[in-house]
Amino acid sequence: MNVSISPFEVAQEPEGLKNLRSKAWNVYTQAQFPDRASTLWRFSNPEAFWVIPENISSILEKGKIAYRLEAPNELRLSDLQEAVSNESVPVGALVGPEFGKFEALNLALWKKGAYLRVPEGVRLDQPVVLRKHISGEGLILDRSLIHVSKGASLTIVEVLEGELAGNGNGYLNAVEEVLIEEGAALTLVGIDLTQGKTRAFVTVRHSIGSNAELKWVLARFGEGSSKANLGARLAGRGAKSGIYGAVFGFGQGKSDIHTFHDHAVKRTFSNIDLRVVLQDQAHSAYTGLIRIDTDAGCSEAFQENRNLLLSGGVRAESIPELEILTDEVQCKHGVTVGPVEEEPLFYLMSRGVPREDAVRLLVVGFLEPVLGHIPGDFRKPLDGLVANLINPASEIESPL
Amino acid sequence: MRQPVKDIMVGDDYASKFGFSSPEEYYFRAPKKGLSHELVEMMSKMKKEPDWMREFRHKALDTFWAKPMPTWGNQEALGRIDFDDIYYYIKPIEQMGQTWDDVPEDIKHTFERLGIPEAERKFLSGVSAQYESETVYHSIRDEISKLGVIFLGMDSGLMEHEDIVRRFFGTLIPPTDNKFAALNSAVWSGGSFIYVPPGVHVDIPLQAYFRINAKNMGQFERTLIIADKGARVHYIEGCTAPVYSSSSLHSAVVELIALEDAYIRYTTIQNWSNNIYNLVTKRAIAYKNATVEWVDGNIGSMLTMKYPCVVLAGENARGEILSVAFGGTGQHQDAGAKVFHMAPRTSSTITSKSISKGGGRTTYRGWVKTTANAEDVRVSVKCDALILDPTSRSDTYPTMEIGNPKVRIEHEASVSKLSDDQLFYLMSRGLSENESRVLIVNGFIEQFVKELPMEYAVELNRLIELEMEGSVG
Amino acid sequence: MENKNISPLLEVRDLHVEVEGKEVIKGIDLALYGGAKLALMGPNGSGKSSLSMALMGHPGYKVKSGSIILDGNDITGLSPDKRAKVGLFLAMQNPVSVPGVSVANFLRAIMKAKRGEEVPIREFREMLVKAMGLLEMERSFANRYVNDGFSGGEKKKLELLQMVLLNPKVAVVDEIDSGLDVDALKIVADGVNRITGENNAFLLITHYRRILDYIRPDGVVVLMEGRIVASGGPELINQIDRQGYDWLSAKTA
Repeated sequence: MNVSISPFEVAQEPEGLKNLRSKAWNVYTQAQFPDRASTLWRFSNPEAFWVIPENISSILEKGKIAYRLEAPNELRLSDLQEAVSNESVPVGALVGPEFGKFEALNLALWKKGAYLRVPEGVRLDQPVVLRKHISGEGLILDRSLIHVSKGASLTIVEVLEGELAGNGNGYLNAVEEVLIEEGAALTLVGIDLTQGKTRAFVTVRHSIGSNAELKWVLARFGEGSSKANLGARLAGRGAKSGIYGAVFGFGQGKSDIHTFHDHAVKRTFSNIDLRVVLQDQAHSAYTGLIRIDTDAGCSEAFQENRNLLLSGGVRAESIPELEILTDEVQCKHGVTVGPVEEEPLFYLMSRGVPREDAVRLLVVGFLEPVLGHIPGDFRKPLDGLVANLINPASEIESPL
Repeated sequence: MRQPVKDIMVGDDYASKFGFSSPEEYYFRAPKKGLSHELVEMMSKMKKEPDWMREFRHKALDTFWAKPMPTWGNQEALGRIDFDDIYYYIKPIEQMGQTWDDVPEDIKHTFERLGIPEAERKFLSGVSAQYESETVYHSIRDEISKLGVIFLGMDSGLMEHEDIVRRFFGTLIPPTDNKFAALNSAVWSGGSFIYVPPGVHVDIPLQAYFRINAKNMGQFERTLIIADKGARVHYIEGCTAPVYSSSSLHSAVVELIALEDAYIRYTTIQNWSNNIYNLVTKRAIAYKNATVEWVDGNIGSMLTMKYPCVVLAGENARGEILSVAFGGTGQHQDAGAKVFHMAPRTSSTITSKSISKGGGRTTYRGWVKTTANAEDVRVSVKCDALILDPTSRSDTYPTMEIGNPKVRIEHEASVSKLSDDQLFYLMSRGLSENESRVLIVNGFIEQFVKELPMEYAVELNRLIELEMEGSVG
Repeated sequence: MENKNISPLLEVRDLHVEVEGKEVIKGIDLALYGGAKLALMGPNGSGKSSLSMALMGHPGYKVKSGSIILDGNDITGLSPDKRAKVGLFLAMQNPVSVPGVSVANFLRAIMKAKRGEEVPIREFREMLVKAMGLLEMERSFANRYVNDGFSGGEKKKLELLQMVLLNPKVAVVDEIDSGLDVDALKIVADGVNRITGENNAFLLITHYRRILDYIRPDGVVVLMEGRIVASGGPELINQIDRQGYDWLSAKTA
């Protein structure tokens, strides 16, 4: 295969981006498939995300994505491609052509995308909502870039909705780059409400400047399958990152989440709390790496992954990894896997709560430390969704 | 009781304090370095092995050649192994000793320099001390052999109890398991063979020392321990090695088989010198109600890769893996634990303590898997790492794969440096900074040390003290 | 304080101390003579514990100027172990736990450090039994890990046990009464009283008078905002007990 540049070349684009696209296309078409012995690909088969280059243009036609921003006037959502032509936008700075084979596909061929720049010092109390709606079948390339300038502070709720019909070949390939400048604070809430058996390949990278803070809340309730590679580079002194994730897998749903906290400089802080509930034949794999670099002393990193298993056919996997290259650190991680605990179940039932309701209560309680970070308007429907999803009938039999 | 070992010294000054060797007198030396079917054929013939073993070796050699090197782990260090530059079999002049008095003087001398022999005579019930690739000293207390316990060198075990060996040898760790297991299977020599009959409890630990003592010589011992129904045995393996200038490869295979209601504990204290590759495959299987415990201490070596494993194959089986790793300058301890829960009501505990210092690196690599039928399983994993200075490194790579919801899996890991508050507290009571550090580090590994027989505990604490010398800063 | 003609066991001269760049001790002068029991009082955050940490040489408490003289030796720049060897002891308010290190091993190590040689096991055992008896401690205490899972009272007793064994020239005792019930308090106070003699001195840090009913100090200094705002005889204790510290802060203003 030797296609010199993508079949979708756009004449108006700056030279720099054209070069990136061309490099990325080469990576996608030429690079070897990732090694399945590596943690990142241990639980997903890379071949599932390969689309033969000749077929790409035809299946790209069939997938659709629409972006909508609900925000006060001072913020405006731009089309990423238009923005790139009009101003200097660092597309590919965090997820560049060499990042990975399938991320390269996105960089080579993305057409529409979302670009949100939050100007310096802007501080918003009300959440900004970015809705992405997918439809059709085939392949969707979704690319977003969020740039939070110095001292800005806001909450962005990203809602992914719709359904991508599975024809075996297509999937949602999403890449998001987020720059958080010095002293800025971003709360990013990602809610995945996609329907059916939507398949997704998601890569997100944040760069967090000095004394800037990221709070990243993720909720994913679905029976589709998703492979997500979520990372943040703590690039400036005093940078903080917290990732709070709630995953509810049911049916044949599969969630393969990788997180990466990259402590590049001194005095950085990270925390991860990922809570997974599984029922039916759902499968969750979590792999997470915390890396504290040689020059990143006086840092702290924590990571916790809890898995609640509600029925017999589920599978849960967890690989929380640490690579600590210096001594002035505090670093901890923990994993638990198990069914609903008998003690609290007994307690609730002894107060007259029927077993089914007790299980629901405990599952909601289990997810609360994560869902509690989601703004109220978005939180309530999720609680309802969780309660409806839980199928106490499928819950494993217990002495009570 | 054994005196604290004064001669044992590890780290930079290992060579001057500890680098001695006996004249290399061999009546047999492999004709040349490197591996070949001719070598395997000759080894097997010299050992007068049965055909099936000879064929096993040949097949394993082909497997070794066919298998790729691991694509994970310390690629740089692994890449430096030159398999063509290693002697694979050397047999010393001395023949198997029956009692301590029969052991030749210069070998005794080497043991004395290691501070071993007194303890061996007084404390041990049986000794199987491997010198070069052969067992040179082997004695078993009368009462143990009267109980029907077999404790032999692996070579003798094969000669005298071929039926038992053939039934179990290579069943847990077939040559196809990994490249180094294949290598061992092709050229194995020495090691221990233990069989404990049904219901027999061996009250005193059985012990053996393995050492590498010839330049560029690989050591490929093979140990097989079988505890029959309701039997109990504790085996202790201690290793120290003199220094040589070029790298040596140590690649053992250890298989433990605990039948119903049996109990096996396998204790290892390793103290290889800094030029040694220590790439070991250790696996145990525990049947119904059986218990297997690995107690594994890794000090020294250039690169250790070792993940003692327990396969819990029967109901109520229990596995425990307790390990300590000390990664000093130029060292990478890539150690860990694996437990496979394949039956209901099985439980396991993994406790790992690691210390890295002087640019050294420790890695915990673990794998816990429960199969779909393994209900009511309990797993507890705890890994704590201490990093003593800014240039050292610690990695934690635990994998958990859970296939049944009725489980309780708990995993916890922490990485930190020595606590300033503890240091200040101890120093405020008059201890120097280094004394304080030694005390804190010894406290950090106390959970491990208290599982060791007294003289090993003393030796380990002493080793830590020596490793910590001059570490202030 | 009556022995003005001989030199003090502990002398603090114009001491200024910083913690993370903030000055917490702003020029303190103190002198403790043999046989003295001086109470150092003051409200929370007045700098009492900071002073004790600075005296013992905690690396987080930086002496910016001034000096600390122990029995004629300037210890201002010494590491904590050297200070201990010269004869200073700090019984800490909340001592840290050292898991895996048994009380017996720990005590034997500190006795060895004090003597410069190993203490024979029999002698050590006799010493330990005697000291533990004095403090009404159970034998099994020696097998537990240092401060690991100890109650407040047990921690205080272990601090005192070390003090008894080390027999310091100057002991700084920080909030020894916090977390103790009356019985434990009596035992602790008894311990302090028994080892008091002409050749050593105590600095008792507290912000309640309770402990001072059992260990009667012969002088009191009051610390506020890093400075000594009052000093006097034991009668000052009653005044603070009745009026609190506010009347003193008015004095500083």
